[in-house]
Amino acid sequence: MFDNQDSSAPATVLAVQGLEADVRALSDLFEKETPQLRLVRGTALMRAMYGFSDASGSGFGASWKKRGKIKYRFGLWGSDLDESTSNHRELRNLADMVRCMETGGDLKGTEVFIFTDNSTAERAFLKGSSTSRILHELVLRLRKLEMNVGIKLYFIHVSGTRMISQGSDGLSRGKLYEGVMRGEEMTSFIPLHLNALERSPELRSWIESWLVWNNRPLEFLEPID
Amino acid sequence: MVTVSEGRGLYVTCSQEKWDKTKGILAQILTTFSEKGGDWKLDRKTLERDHGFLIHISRIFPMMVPYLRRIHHTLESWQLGRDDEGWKYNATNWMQYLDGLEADFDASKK
Repeated sequence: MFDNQDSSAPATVLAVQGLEADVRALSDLFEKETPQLRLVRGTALMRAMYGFSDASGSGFGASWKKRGKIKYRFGLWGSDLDESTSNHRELRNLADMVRCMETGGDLKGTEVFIFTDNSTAERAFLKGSSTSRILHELVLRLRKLEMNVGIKLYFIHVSGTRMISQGSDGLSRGKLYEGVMRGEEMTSFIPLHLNALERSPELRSWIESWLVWNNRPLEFLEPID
Repeated sequence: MVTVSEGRGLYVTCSQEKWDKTKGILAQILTTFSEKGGDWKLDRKTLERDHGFLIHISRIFPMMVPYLRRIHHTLESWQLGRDDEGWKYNATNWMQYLDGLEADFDASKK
């Protein structure tokens, strides 16, 4: 019988540093007694939520749209976070925001799009881990929430200037009359609902300039086609 | 296993049997840790089999993937050229390792 095992491999192996933490994290993900459902696709666009989150040195702010209404939270950090890094504060604010969104209930089946100007928080969530223990625990908290509540989280990095114009940066500094807070539409800051041709009208004529064949008109297909 | 909840969306999940098996594997690994403490050795063949099953389950729950890395590193920890966390040596690490060997060799000749 063909044996493809390495004959020099030992019978036992020594655990590497951090194995216990990883297995405990996995164990936390499987803490429920019955199999959890993982959301693949929400029912419709109305089941998607957009939110922005920003943390400054002394405060935090977040705003999101739910059932056509703008919800927000803001405040000052406690003294327990005096020595914390900006990455910790940013990710902590994101985790608290998602928990706050979930507190209202009925999030199951929702695809939640969170926008942040902190690329470390975005990458840590996408990667699922961080070399910083505190960030790692916050990421795990978000992953558990995602699994237990049945939501799908997307963290998307946006520029700081977009964050300022959207109003969440102002919220973290106690300003309540900027961006969405004074009535501007949330989707105007994150035009994910527009396709490339809608976002840039010049794109159509540019494609036509090099893709015309035998003077036949081009047909641009829509998702419905 | 795919499940569609009317008005709620499309979901995937696993059977109760697989869920329980996963919980059992993780609990078993943690038991060996509490028994053996600092010098934590695991049976390679068993861990290899469990690792394979966890990879299978991670296709359903991809949030598991980052936490499987150190199990893989543990399985390969006996190989040459890996640090305490199981990461492979880069060029600098290899240079330091070979310098160390050379120094040991020189010392043994004296």
